[in-house]
Amino acid sequence: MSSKPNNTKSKGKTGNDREPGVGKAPVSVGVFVVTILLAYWAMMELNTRAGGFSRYVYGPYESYAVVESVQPGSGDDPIKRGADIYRNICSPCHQASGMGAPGQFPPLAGSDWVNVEGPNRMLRIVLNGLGGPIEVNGETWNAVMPGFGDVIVSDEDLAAVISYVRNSWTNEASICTPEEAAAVRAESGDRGRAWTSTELLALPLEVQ
Amino acid sequence: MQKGYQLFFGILAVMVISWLGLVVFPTVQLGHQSTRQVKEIGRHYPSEPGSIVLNGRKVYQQAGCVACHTQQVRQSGYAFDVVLNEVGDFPDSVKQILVDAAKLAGKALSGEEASSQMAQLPSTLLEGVDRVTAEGVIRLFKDSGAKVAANILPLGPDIQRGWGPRQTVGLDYLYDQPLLMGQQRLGPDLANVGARLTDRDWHLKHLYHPRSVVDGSNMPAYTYLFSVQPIDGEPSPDALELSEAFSAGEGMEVVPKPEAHALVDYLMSLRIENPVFEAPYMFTQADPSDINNSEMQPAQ
Repeated sequence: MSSKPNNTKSKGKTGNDREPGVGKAPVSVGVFVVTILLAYWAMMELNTRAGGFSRYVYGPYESYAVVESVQPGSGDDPIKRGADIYRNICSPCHQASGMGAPGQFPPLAGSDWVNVEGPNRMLRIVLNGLGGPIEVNGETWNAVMPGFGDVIVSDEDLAAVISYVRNSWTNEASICTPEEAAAVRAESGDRGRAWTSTELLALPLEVQ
Repeated sequence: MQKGYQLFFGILAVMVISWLGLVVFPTVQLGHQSTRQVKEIGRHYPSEPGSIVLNGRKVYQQAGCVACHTQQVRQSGYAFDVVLNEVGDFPDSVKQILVDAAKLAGKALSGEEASSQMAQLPSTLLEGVDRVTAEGVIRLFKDSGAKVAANILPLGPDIQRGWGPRQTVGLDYLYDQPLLMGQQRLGPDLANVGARLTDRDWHLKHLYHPRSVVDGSNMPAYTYLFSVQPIDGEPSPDALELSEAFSAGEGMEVVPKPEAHALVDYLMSLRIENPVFEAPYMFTQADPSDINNSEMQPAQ
């Protein structure tokens, strides 16, 4: 690269006396080529290693899809998956044994609300909650259960926890499918208030 | 000055680009996070620190702990353990698949070995295989009725040292203000110290005199967090039980000041033991005896 003095005002002066200036000096084409290659390489690195700039992607995971695919789950078994959810959400009241607490929380184990043909009523109770008196196995309970529709957001999880309750302890009832959960959620998910047992008893047992 | 505006805009452009890259884009990418429900622990993470922990955090800052300790666990890779959980209704075909699966992972497995794997469930079929192999092996079992799971296993020197079960991510520092991530490791990483070292007395003794509990430790003694006082009648219930070589002398006792207790509270609150979406790992409710206590070797 060569650069010739281009400062007209500094004629006659030399060295440090000359005011520095910006001018048009010829630049080797190689500099442009190298710059463009560097920029290209940087873009390729960002493309393959930046994980799409997602806040959920940290190295060594390559992309959001990879992070999602390596999440440890309880496998495909809805009952095992439901057991995790039950332990976290349901067992504080209904107990790990499903026996509830006398006078406070009705039992799920052996309950005549659980061991029925379809999960329609159970799904609605979990989604929107239950208030007012309810008769379980011949005993009348008067307690309030909050709805968990906005806690258990995925239909798979909702179906899994219902399936777990319906197939644990002494209970033997059908598996609840995610489609059933989705159907009930679409119908009554935004209901906004708890069910009463009278309202539920008027509904069919199976999801329509 | 000639073409001053070019110089001005050139410098401005450099500043703006750095500001965009160092401040604006990271804020867009990582900022504005909030606590998240973590299924495995059944609560929101991270939880807001209480006032005692915040006091301890101040002691941590004043004592300059951050100069020698980091709070960041790095992860360089990940692998999978493939575990057979249930055999299902077709044990013969599962046995054949077990032999095939071992072949896929480059190992030889005899029929008897396969039977013994199927006898004790859950049994680990493969350890530390990559994602492609793990997925391939699971695909083999797809229609056999057997239940096979791939458990993710974070890898890296920090994780090998037992400093944490997973890498730290942005979410872990949500309430860390100012950030005490640290830059150099003259001592071990503390991101998960509350889960690693669970003995309160150990922490107090370690702060009073590190060599009394860790042989050859290079940590300075933080004696000013303790008061050495003569025993007045009954010994204080709070006094440290120090060995002969480190005791304060006949008739003297070492009692932690409130600052020492606060600092230990802060240290015990540092935990990254639960998985988060960004840093998954197979979480099992740990048996307290399994917790890595490698730093707790008593001094001779």
